[in-house]
Amino acid sequence: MGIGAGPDDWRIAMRLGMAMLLALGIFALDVLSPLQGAVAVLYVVVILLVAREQRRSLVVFFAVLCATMAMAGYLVSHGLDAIGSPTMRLGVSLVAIAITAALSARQITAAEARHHSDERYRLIFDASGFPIWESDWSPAYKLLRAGETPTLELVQRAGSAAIIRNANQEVARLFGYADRSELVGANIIEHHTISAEAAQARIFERLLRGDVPIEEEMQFRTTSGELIDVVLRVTLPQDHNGWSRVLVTALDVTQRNRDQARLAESQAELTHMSRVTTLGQLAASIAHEVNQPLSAIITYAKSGQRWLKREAQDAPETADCLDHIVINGKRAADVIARIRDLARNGDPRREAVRMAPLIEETAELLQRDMIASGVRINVALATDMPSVLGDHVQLQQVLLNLMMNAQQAMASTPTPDRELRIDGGVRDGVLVVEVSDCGAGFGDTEPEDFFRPFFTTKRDGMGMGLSICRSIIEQHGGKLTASGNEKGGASFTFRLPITEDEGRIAA
Amino acid sequence: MTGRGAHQARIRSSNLSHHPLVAIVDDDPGVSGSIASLLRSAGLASERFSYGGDLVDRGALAEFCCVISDLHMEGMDGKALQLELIRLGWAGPFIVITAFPNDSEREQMMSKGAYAFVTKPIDPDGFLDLVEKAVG
Repeated sequence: MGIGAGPDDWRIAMRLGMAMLLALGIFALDVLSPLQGAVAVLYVVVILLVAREQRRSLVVFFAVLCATMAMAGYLVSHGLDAIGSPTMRLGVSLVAIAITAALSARQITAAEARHHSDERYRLIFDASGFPIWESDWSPAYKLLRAGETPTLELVQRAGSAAIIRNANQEVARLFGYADRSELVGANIIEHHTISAEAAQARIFERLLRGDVPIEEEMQFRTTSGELIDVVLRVTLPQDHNGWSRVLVTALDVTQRNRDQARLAESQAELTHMSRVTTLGQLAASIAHEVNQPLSAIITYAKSGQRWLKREAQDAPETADCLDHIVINGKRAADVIARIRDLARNGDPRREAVRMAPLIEETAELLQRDMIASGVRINVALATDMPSVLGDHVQLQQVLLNLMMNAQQAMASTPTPDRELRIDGGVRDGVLVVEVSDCGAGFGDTEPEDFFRPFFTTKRDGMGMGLSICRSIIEQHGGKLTASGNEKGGASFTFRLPITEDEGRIAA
Repeated sequence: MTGRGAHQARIRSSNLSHHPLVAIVDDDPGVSGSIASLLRSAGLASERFSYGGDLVDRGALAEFCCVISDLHMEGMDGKALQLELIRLGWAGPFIVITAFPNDSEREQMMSKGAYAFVTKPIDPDGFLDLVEKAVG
């Protein structure tokens, strides 16, 4: 501002010059005119003129100047005469000047305060980082006041008549405009989707009830045709004047909704995978269990045939029975083999599985569930956790199963003590992972019993979980064992051979 | 029952002490008992063990001309037993039987010198041929 005087400064200087001239004119009139009136009261006009500049200092300066000139005029015309009616007129003029100056100054102060508050509002409006706009919805207000119901048709009618009074740059970005000026004076009806119109109808309805602030999630279409999910918050300022000033803020939740959908999808996928693997493992586990007695039956029957030939060659009926036992035993074995082949269809993969990320990922998956049941997960893995050769999904299933067992084992543990520990590292050249809880431990039961198929301590358990876990770990060439721990709880430990490719992977 | 069975097997084996012995290691008494009966029917004496460790603890491994062992057992499993026997210098035929075959374990054990890797349920005739060939 200082040196380079702009056109505004010239205009101000000119107006002040005019005021000065007017003051001088009044002075001349006061001194020269023979009128016996309070001419000096006219200085009030000068002060009012100056007050338009909205500067308190100028008002004060001109008030003092005018008062001085009024007094000078009095002295010139009347000298130091005795106090008379001219003195009274001077007094009235001075009071008028003082009051006008005081009122002007107060008006300027109030205007400044309003200006500051407007500035602040604009700053918040522009710099909030959220899309904010101010709309004129008075057409909708009039229609609704006239008794119309907030239907989709009304939304379209009222929406095209609505106007955006002001919008910040974030709004432009949200809808895909280069600059907010493109939005001011326009409306957003072309960005509406069906869901947005239905939500808008609800907003009108609630606004009419005075139910503010209102939040509604809806979908808009941007200028590039992309669909965005937005939560709108609608507020009515006190001086909304029939909805002609409605404040709308928006929160873009597109990414959040997408992430949520992806999370739900991957959780569903995991559940499905887990179920498929469980079924497969269940079949494999049953096949394993049944093959043992089947093997004994067939071998005993075959052995019986051989003994019969040696001990009682004239027992054809018994020999026939043994024949049928062998044939039917083999039939049963074929059925089992077929089930096992079926189970093997989702053939476990053999690839290098990095255990540390797998454990962390699994802990992450259960985190929410654990927090809900007051369980803290404490993962302590060695920095040099190696890879193992195996099936990522199957190994994750083992981890999930052990962790969920641990969680359930602590159901009656006092909440502050509910800690689930996962320790991992290398011991004696194999990978060791230990999942420990602080539950009630094994009690009188042998830890080994927990691995027997159909053994369960849960009301609704099938008793296959640990049996399946063990068979998965054994299929991976490892071992799964159980023991009590120093906290009185149970620890399940699996050991897996480290992949020979480890060196190559690391290199 | 198991104890008595094993005892009887031992008595029988002592009767046939001039014959070489076959060790059967399996934690399922049905499996080990049926194999013992099958071998006996072919004139082969055997001794049964529920755990790999029992065989090692018994000592006098030289009496055994063949070991038939399950793969998955508590304590010392089939793989560990194979390695322990190699360490103790026993070099007879080692036959693995398992209800849970897996390619990598098959490869691993065969490469360590196992005589055969047989899936349960075993085919008794074929198995007998195999053992007779192994015993020589």
